[in-house]
Amino acid sequence: MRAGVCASGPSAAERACPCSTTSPAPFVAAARSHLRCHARSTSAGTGLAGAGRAPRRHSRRASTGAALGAAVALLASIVVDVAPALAQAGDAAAGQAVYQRKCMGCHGEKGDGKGPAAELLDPKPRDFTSGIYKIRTTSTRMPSDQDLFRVLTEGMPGTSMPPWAVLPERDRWNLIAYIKSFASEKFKEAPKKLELPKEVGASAESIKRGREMFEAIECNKCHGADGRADGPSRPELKDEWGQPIKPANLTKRWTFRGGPSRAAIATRLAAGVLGTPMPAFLDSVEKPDDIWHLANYIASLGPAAPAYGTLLTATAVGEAIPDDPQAELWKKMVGQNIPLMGQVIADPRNFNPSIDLVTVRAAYNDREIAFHLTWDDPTESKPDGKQTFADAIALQFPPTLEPGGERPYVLMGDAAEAVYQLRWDSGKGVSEVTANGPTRVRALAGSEATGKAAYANGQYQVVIKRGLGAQDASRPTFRPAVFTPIAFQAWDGGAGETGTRLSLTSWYYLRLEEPQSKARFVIPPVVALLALGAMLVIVWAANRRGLSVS
Amino acid sequence: MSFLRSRFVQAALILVLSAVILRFGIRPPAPWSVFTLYMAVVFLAVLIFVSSDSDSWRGFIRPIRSTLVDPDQRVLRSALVVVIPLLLGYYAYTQAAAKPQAPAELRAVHPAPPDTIQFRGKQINISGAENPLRKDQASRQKHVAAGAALYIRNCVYCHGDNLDGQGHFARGFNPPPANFQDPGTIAMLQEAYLFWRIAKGGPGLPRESTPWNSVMPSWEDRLTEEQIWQVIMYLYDATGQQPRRWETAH
Amino acid sequence: MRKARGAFIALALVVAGAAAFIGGPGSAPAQGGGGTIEAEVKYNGAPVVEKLKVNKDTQKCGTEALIEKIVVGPNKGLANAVVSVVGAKGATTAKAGKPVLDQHGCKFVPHVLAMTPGEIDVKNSDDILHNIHTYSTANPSVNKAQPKFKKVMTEKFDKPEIIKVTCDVHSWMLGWVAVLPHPYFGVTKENGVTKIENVPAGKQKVEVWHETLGKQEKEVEVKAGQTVKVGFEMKK
Repeated sequence: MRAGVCASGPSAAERACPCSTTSPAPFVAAARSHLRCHARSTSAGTGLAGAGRAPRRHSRRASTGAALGAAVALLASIVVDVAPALAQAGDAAAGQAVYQRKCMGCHGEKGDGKGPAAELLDPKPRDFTSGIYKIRTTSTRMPSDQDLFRVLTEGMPGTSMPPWAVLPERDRWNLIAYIKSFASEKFKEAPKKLELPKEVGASAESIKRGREMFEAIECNKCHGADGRADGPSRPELKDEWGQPIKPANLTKRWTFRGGPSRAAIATRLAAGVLGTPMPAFLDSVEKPDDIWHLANYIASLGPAAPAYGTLLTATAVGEAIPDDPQAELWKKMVGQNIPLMGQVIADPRNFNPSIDLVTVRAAYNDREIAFHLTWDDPTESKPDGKQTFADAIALQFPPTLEPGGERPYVLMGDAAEAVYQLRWDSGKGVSEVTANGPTRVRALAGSEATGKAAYANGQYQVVIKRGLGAQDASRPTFRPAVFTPIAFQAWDGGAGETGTRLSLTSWYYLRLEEPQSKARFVIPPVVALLALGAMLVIVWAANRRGLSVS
Repeated sequence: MSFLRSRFVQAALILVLSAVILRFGIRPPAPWSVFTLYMAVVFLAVLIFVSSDSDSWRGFIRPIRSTLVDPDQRVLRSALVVVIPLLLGYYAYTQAAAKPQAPAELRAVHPAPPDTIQFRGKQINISGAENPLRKDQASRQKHVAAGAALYIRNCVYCHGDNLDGQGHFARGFNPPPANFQDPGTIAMLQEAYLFWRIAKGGPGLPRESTPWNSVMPSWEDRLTEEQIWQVIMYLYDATGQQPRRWETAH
Repeated sequence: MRKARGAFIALALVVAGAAAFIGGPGSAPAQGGGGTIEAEVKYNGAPVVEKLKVNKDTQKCGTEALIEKIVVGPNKGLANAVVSVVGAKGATTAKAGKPVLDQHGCKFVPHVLAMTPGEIDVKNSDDILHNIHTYSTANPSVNKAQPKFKKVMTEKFDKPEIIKVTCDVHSWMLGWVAVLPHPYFGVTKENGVTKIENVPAGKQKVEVWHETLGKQEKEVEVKAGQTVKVGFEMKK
């Protein structure tokens, strides 16, 4: 039996083990494997531009050198794998075959959104028989074929609908023809393109006006004052099938179902999102331009995509570290974003976790280390122990560092090896616990960990502090310049999360940074001087020889 | 186009073109290590090419020597003498100021399987075992369909609808979920190997495969023996891969 | 359910049309010589009112929202029931003025509105955001925001059907718009009574619809210049 070993580390691993290697930090590995294994999705823009230009360039230069021309043609043929998405009439029968292989598990054999996976998903898969589609660029109720094609190709961020760019384009058009056949009556009427007001750029002024409009039209009712999906109407919202539905967190544009661009946001605002409580605002703003001002404001609330951290760094500070999450020190530090995922190892599992991102800041001085954690949670839960549980977050460490890099099992350790956790629970505060698996969690006696939490407008900010040294063997010691494994777990008690219903990360590394060495100021001039010397010697030598030869 | 006849320009052109093609022409992009390796080969080939005869070599050397020696190239020469050390100095700075990287980890992706495993108190042979459901050709479709339903309810979150390891939880986990479409995964493994990996999950991995890091559950807690074989059938059916056969003992 | 109702109405229309045709000019009601139907709808049960604690806009909506599923007045009169003459034909512009559905105190006023096909003004008297979200099959459903500065919006319901209207911002808000193909209808008041005037003389089918209690139908003989009474007893 063959045992494939992968050296990990950026390059070697990539070569040896495509798509299933590990590398120091999860996202790096994931991102790389994504690039390598699924790089088909080059941006449509580049692809199209290439398609348009390459042939012309080829013909113009054909005479100048066959090699050059051939190279360009080769390049063009390789780069251009995204064909322009012109609407095509699909073949519903051919689409059915693809549907049965790829779509039925969620959307059901009858297209009613009741596939075997449906009950586990939130949001629920689309019921094609209803003919109600969320994402459309039309002023009529039905989406255009292009709209369907885009959603099929790019998926619906924040849901279980993945991008299907891996399917041949022909298959996707066939699928659209088949999907439409579930509600053919409704698709009879030709869709009309939604006419948006003329685009307004994202200037400071426009954003300010957008904010005024945001308040005037009371977006906060559902989306919350700061856009974090914590509005007062949130618990009441239902979709047209009677299922509870969450408003979008406007600070996380990358989860927008129709995409994060300003044009996409403006379109959703103008036309609404069918089947959901999100109404159309095109005729309900003061001036037509306000649609763009609103879109600009919403786009200003957060990045189009989060930059995820890799290695977590604790900054060395000379001063005392404040408990207060709002303190200046924390505002000055750059947050490191860590994605959290659902827990599917132990029962009960959590397929639709509430907390998907925690932003970490860490600082240490000669006595203690402090973690500043920020995450969105739409409700500040007052635990009642029945339906509402405590909101909580845990930082997990191995109690001791093993030289071989071995760590306890990522989900709270196991019977053989315990983990140490620094926890914060709403209504309880900071504590230190040791765990041998999710069901065997014990508070550590004599906890010296402290901390403070603040909740406002759908967001927690918590500071958790502890001495650098360990009181006993159940607790880790934090040392500068040592790579300390760290993992995160979070619970949104208001969403019923408790116990193993949690969101979690893999093991990351935390490093307490050393004061930076002066080497970076010494080495470069030395290198430059040596190179200069070498250059001068070469020139001198060449001239001497050149003179003697000629 | 007389400059195209210059050996030096030809050599430079070949190098630049190769670099462009290797960097941007290969999908998915090749990692740096592969790129540098290929470029080194190209460089050697170019050296052989330009030194194939002495005329060619002289033609190649001429512009270099001219830059170093000729009085009318003094400006270019002085510029190079300044710019090259600066570039190297800058490179040295980027290296010296680089943030530390997390330590590299060695991980066996496909460790050797055990000969037998305990499955819910029953001993199951792994070494040499075949998927028992394959014997019954008539029920094949039934098993594949059952496997598909199990897959979509249990596996899709990490391994993805398209079985490509791109489920919506995939990004957060290290090691990333296996990509079954990749010829380096199930296509080079026996079905019984998959049975072991599914039944025992991350915690069942040997030390060299970092069992503490894998979030792959031990499915023996949730799926029956038959269900696991069904899922395996679905994996091969949906990806079009063929399971590896056990080598017969000599 | 709704589809079935639509089909029923369509069928009724056809039957009525056919009847009018077969009946010929002889049986046509004298112009302006219609009669009046006075319908009294009763419900022999307790009112059903759900209460909900309000967590927003309390200055406009109050601190407690009432979801009135069944409103029973004095003498067991059932309010908010739509009484209409099935299959009647008549000018659809008979009722004076555009119908108005107001959103006032975080309630739809009236709770049940009946109208002939055409335009309707949707008012927002609350000075807060509402959204008018309709659930219909024959007409296109709408979900439009109506912020505080948008005092009136005009919507169009061209096809007969009974449309549920909600507001997602205030989930307890519920209203009904009954679009009828003719002007012979009424909505019962607190006492359970409504009058339909100028109904063509002859045998007519009268239908009652209530959001929670469903439908009932009775036949009456309408005589020109006279008022005919008809009583309904709705059951769960």
